[in-house]
Amino acid sequence: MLFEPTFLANQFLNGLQLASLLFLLSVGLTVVYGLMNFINLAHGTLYMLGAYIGLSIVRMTGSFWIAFLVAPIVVAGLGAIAQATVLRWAGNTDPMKQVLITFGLVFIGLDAVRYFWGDYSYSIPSPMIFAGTVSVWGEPYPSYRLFVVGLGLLVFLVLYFGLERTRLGAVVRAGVDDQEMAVALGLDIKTAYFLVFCVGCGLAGLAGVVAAPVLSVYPGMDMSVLILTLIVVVMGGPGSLRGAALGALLIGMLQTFGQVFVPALASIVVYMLMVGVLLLRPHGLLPIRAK
Amino acid sequence: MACSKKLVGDCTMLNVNNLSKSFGALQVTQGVSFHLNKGARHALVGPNGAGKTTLFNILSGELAPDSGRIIFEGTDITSYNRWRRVRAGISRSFQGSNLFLESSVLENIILALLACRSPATNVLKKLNSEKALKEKAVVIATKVGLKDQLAEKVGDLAYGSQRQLEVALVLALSPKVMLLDEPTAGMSLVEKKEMLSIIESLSTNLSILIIEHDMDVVFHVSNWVTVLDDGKILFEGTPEDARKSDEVRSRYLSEV
Amino acid sequence: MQNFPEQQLRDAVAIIVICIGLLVWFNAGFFGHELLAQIAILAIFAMSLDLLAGYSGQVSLGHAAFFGTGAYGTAALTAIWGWPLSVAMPISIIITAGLAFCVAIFAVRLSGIFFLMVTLAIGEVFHSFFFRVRVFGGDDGLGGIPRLDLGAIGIDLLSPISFSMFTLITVALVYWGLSYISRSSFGAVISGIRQNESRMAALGCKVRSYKVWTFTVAACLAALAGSLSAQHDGFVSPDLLSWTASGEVLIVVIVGGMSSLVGPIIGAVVVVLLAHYVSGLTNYWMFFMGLFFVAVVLAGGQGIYGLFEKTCRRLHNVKR
Repeated sequence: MLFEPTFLANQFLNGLQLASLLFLLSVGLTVVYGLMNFINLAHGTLYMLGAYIGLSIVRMTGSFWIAFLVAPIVVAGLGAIAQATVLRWAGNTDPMKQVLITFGLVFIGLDAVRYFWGDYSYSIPSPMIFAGTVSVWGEPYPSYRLFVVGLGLLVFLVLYFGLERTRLGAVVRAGVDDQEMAVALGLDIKTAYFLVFCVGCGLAGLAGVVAAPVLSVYPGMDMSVLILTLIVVVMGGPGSLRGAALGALLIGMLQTFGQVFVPALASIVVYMLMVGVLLLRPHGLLPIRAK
Repeated sequence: MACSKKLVGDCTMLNVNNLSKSFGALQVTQGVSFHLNKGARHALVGPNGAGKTTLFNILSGELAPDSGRIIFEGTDITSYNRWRRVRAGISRSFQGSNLFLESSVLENIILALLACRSPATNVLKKLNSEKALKEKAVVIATKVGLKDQLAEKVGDLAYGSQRQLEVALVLALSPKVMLLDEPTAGMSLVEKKEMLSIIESLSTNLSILIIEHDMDVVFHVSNWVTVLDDGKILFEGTPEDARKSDEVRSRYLSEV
Repeated sequence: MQNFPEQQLRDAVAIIVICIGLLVWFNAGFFGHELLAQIAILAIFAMSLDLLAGYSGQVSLGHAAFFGTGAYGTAALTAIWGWPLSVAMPISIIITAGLAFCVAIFAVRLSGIFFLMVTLAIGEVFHSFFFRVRVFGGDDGLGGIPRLDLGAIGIDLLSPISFSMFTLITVALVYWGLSYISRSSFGAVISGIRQNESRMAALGCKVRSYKVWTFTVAACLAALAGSLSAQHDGFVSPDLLSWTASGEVLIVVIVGGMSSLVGPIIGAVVVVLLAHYVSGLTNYWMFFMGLFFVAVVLAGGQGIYGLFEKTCRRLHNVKR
């Protein structure tokens, strides 16, 4: 039963779905890391907030799509506030301290979520358009999951063209490649960084809303996804969009198939992969930086 | 015990054969060969980007060359990692200040003396009871003119004193071959004079390879010069010959 | 400028803190002894992390993994396989040492943020292991853990009074041992590694070897704390290895004052007391702990003891 093509096709699509979510999450993290050498450990918290805010909006308006549009914006706004206040204050300290501060924010965010929404786990129904199933290899497969996969692909394409064709994109690429030089050339790295950070936060929030109908919404959902995201970022290399996509695909597949075939070992394999990449290819599988 | 500069022989400490290193498309070091005899005072000069520090990084073990061999006292040490080379007898100083800024001058030198020992040896010794080590550290500090600043925090030291400490740390390792990377960089004239006298006071058994930009220092201290340009050796000879060479003058020594 | 007696001050404050602990021990009621034991166990755990993060500069977000293996090792060996605790305790520490060594030989090749991420991941691997494996009770945990049998010398550790004294003595011994290491040449070298790792390597130091040793010793002490915790609660659960547990102990170290050994003890006192006080008022004490932590880091990250030492230094310099 395990090796039936229908089942495998099913799992393959599940893997793609997870990859899509991981991509949405990792892209913000990796570009910020590439630009500023800064890892925001509270990125998972933004994902969680996106899910919960989406939940509230759905409860208030009954519409998934309003949540889909509004929640990421709210999360991006929260990220902007955090960046402008706490993280700016910490700006002159060493990067380690900044990372520790984001870790403190994880604790704060976790209890904040529990305070506003309670300790229970929730779910939101998928939107009407995608509530049905599609026939994959003769078996029904939830069309919502295909929507998630499509969304990830769409975001990738939009970001790809954004980075390659727009002025902001050029500034970002220059900043990732060589920050000192970019600053010396007079490029407005600070604004670029702020915008990229906010977009990254928004994407994390988007991932949260989009994940809510598929995974459950509960306090603690932030950490389980953060570690996988970190692994994707590490594998893809700092600042690399294609690296994030490739990493997300790899990890999404490994995690999905791993859980099915060797559940006890799945996590170990994925983490060992992270350690391996960090040791052998510290700049990721598709590094952007020359060095 | 005078050792002929020009010949590779029994008193050759370091023999570098055809070293090459490239970073991607950029060839930083191209087929560099030279040798260092015992007691040498050998200067490595060349414009910025000529590959001098990269060469040092290869010699000290921080970078692996793409090709070529490094032979130290007759042994091929190309595959040795950093600490093996230090224990064999090659140590280097750094261009920028690469010190322990939170600790005092004395503590810095003591760290250099402790570094080579194994964890097992070190855990059994109380730092305060390492009298012999402390005395040795004081001697080294005196050699580099830092006797009066032993208790000062290195982060607060004047730049010139930090450069002196750089030399002290290398001395503490009791090297046979010393690689000095721009020891007088950024120093005032007075500080340079001090550094010069320190280098001149070093034992004649010690073989020194020194990267320098200041040609005065080169003429004072060294008896042999290798001019590096674009990763390749442009010229090799005595400082006077270097000064007279047309090639060198046109590429580099325009103001001398 | 005369040298500031840094180590002496730390030892003095440590002695004072332990004496205060003794005073409290004499006067405490049942709940007081429970708190005392909790503080002591957390202090040992935090000191072990201080050795790793504060002294050798390896900031880990997965240290609870080793606390957990010490706890679970003790639990499994006694509650499942019926071994006596006097054997189970050292064995669980030895097993932890082995695991830590295996993790360390890879992990020490990384530093800074990379090391942080890897330790976070390792913590999750260990956590998910105990969460899934039914032998250890899964997410229900494991109970029925006895306490050390000191009947031979007439002490009944089941009594909270005796147990809290037992933990207090252990804190003193651990402090003394770690203080010895920090005052040794080994301590000087790892402090050098923290300040400038690449220079130590360039000076011929086998940096990785030192880091592996430090990591392993720190893990062993964390396992000791974990074992005591298992005995104290009589129960273990996978929560002991969660990232929140790793984060909390790091917070304790930083809030108390990193790189001082006595700071983590103070941090343990403050955090446990605050947690009890705040939990009495609200269900959301992680929020306040997070806030407190962010404030401490923004204020310079020196922690309570760090500020105290800085003030003493200033006064010392003024007098001279």
